[in-house]
Amino acid sequence: MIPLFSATGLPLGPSGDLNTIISLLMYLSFILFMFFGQKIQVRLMLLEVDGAVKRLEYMRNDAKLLALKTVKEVGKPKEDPTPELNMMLEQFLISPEGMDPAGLVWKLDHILNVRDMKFKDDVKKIAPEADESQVNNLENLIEASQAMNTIYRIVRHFYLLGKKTSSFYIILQIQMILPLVMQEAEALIGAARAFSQGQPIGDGAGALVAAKLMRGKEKRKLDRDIVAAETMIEGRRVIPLKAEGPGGNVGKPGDAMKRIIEESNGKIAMVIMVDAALKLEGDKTGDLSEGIGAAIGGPGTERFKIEEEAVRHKIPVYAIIVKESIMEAIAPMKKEISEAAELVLARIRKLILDRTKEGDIVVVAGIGNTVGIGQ
Amino acid sequence: MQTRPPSNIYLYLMIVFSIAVLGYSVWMLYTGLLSMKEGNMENFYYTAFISLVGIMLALSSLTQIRRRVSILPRLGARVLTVALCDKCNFKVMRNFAAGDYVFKEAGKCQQCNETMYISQIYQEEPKKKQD
Repeated sequence: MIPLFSATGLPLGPSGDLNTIISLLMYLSFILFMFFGQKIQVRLMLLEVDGAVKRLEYMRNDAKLLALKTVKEVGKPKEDPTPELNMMLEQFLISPEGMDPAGLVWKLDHILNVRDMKFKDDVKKIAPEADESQVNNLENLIEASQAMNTIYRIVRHFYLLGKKTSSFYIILQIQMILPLVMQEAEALIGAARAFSQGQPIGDGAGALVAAKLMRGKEKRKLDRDIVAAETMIEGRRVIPLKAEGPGGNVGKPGDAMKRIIEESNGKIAMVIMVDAALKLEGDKTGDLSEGIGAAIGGPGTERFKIEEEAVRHKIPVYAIIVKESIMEAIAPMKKEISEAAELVLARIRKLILDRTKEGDIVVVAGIGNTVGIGQ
Repeated sequence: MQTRPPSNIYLYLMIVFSIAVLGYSVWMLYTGLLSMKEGNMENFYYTAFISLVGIMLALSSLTQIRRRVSILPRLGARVLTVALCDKCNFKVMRNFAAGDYVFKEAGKCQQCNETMYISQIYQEEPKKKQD
């Protein structure tokens, strides 16, 4: 009989019989792992992905409920907006065919314009009492919920497909990127909360800088939700522009820039673009970097328009970026990012002094989502 | 639609189990050392091996739980509104309220009665090491 306790009082102490059993168990586990190692690994990975799918489902529902609650509170719809909201969460966009790339940008721009207009109309329909700024915030909130819904569905797709096929490589794909996916989902939940309350997000760093330049000056509205003003810095005429706040909005800075350049007959000495940009791990949030080129993200159509105009009129385009992570860009604005705006203004002043002369016209474009930032 | 947050019961059970394994492994290591003093080397090697495996498993499990718990405060971070007076630079800091936005007028200054404005809205830094 195997003694349950050894002389030291420990359960299963060393004895001849026990050594044999342990050796046998080791051989057995070795054989087991040799034949079923990958299956065991697949089961463990599926368990991990299953937990993530459940968490994502909760987060997706949380974002959806938040959107529904905000729509009801702000928009005061007469009918239940749930079916319309569900439809909006599943909306998609088909990119134009790229086999013949000529004119692709304008095709994409057109599709994006139609999509933006339809989405805004849909939001107005389910939130008839919301004002323009609230409609913009609701639009962004529903977009965040839409992104959460897409993430959940993609992870669930790979999970179920992996479960169905027991394919190690299908499950491995999703398991490997799971930490990044979960981080992004958490940031999206933060973004949904920020949009529901109209709090500034990290992406608004550029808009904040332009707003600081505009404060107290007369503003005028340009195309598609963009506002511009005029101010003087060291004898130079500076035209700051940004998306119209405080509702969540990015506007169409490309079109606005084209209009300003045309109004000045192309006599712009310099364009400075300020935007939030992705930092690399190890970089400090809120640090600045200076460069050349159009600092603007998104699908690329606005960058194309700015580059086209800059080349046509030979206008140098400078970029100042505020470093932040993807999570910080869509979460409520951090103190470091908010404080970086003053440092950006100092850089703009230095650039203007170094690269232009008195009487020149300079355009400062504050790029990014202007939620929670007025002007 | 699932509205309840995912239960944390497994997390708590895991913590209790890991601590129990850690405690038992440390005790086992201690008794192993006692048997080494008594000259029972066979028992010492056996218990040292088993207890070290137990300690490593428990520590690895606790580290993973810590990583999971550390993301929770980020979700509940506070957002602050800073109102500033242009004239006397008097600053008022308060919790963000719905309707606040940067450059919105924020009432009269308590010191000079000038109109204040919201100069900053930002998320409070959680009290932990930077990522």
